[in-house]
Amino acid sequence: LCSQCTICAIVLVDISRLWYKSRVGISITEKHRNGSFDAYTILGAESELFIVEDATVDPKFAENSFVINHPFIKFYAGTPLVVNGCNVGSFCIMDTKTREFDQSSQNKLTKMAKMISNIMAQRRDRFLFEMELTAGQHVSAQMVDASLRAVSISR
Amino acid sequence: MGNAACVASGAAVHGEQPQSLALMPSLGDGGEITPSLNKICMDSWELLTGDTCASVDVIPNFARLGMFSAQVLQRLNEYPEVFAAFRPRTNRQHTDTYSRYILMYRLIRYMLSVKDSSLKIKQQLRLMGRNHMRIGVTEEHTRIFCQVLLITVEKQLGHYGTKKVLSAWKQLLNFIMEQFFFDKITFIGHFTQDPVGFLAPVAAMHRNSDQMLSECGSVQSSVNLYRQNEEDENEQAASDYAFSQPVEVSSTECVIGNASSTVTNAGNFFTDLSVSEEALLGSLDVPVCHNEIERILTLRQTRLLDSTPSDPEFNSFATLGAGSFGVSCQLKLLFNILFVCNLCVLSVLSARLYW
Repeated sequence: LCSQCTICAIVLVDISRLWYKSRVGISITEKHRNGSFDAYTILGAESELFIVEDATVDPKFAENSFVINHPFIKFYAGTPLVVNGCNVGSFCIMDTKTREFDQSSQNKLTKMAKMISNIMAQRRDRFLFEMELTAGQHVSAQMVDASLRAVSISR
Repeated sequence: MGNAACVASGAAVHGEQPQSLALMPSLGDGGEITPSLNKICMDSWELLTGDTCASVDVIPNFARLGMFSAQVLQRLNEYPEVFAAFRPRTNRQHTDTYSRYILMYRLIRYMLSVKDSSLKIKQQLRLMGRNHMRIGVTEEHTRIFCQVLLITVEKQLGHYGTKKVLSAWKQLLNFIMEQFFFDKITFIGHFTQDPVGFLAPVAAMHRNSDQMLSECGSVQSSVNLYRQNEEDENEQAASDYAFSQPVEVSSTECVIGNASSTVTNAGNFFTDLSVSEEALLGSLDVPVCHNEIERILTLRQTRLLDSTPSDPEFNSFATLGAGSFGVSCQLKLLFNILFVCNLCVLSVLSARLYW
């Protein structure tokens, strides 16, 4: 039964590692970037799919621990998660058997990736807004400080 | 890089000129580096200095190496701006000349460690190039240095300096220069944004020269050295920068620093990569995006990295995806159990009906 299970994950690609933000079918939270599928997925344009039908015969992924060890992945399909024009991660599915990935499945994957990207973009916007507010508060604090100094000097 | 880049500027055209080569190593003409080409350079280097590059613990035949370095420095002295830049800034343990010799040795050994044109090597050279640009090293500086190096190699080799040997040196230097200034446009803005952070790489490069001598055998070891010295050097560079600022500015910096130290630190994390992180990036085996640094900073700004993995908003998408694109283990198991149960119920019912 387990040989037929599907892995689905939201992967963030950091400098040298993959951070599994959310995943079904695997338990690890991070993995090295070298030799990973997602490192190649983020090289594509928005909504571009990166599909590997049989990873065992692809030399790029010959050393991928998911391919040579459990869960022995063969099929991979992923699309980039785009925030502010940058491919920050990927939304992907993996399978232990080669499978057909028809047009409707491709559309579903890219559509879901777009929705995830929107959430991530919102998180980033919120962060930048918070930073702006914090910076504004510091400027105000400095201005108050400068006025107090000016008052003390004039006295 | 157009043809204009290949023409020497007026300032550079004085002093000696190499006889069998173009005056300047030209950018954009780097070609590919092969182990055989590298070997030609290594052999001629051994001939020049007695340095076999086999052992990195001791500088072999220091007298010959010193003679070679002295000649390079003497020629470089004709270009005060380049000569001034070619100096370790944080090594105060040795004399000025000795430090320059060591730097020269380290630099040439680094160049000779480039054995192929693989993507990994290119990325590491681009990283080094960016670090140099951050401290104000320009294409012109590098060209002049390469020119001087070529002239010295040619003069010192004498009749051993065949066209093949000198062409190998030229190709090696061209390749390094080409990769050094590969993405100079992208990084010009960074220096104005964070000058303190941008002093760190040079400090990391020019300090602990003895240790560097033992480490400079390969490109990878240079990356390791960057990682090792990063924290120490950041502090050193920051203090050097602080001392060079007018008193008025420093006091303002202190006030702001005390008031918002957390924000400043966070700001650096979200707006720039550290030296070790860039080195890490350079050591990757996989290709990286054209806007890799911007990409990583954007990712950090989402604040999703290393956050708690159970984020319901994202989990729902993963679950939805697993459901949409395949049948999960649990669901399959459930269907099987239900199927067996149904069979049992049907058999019981049919048995009852029969009786």
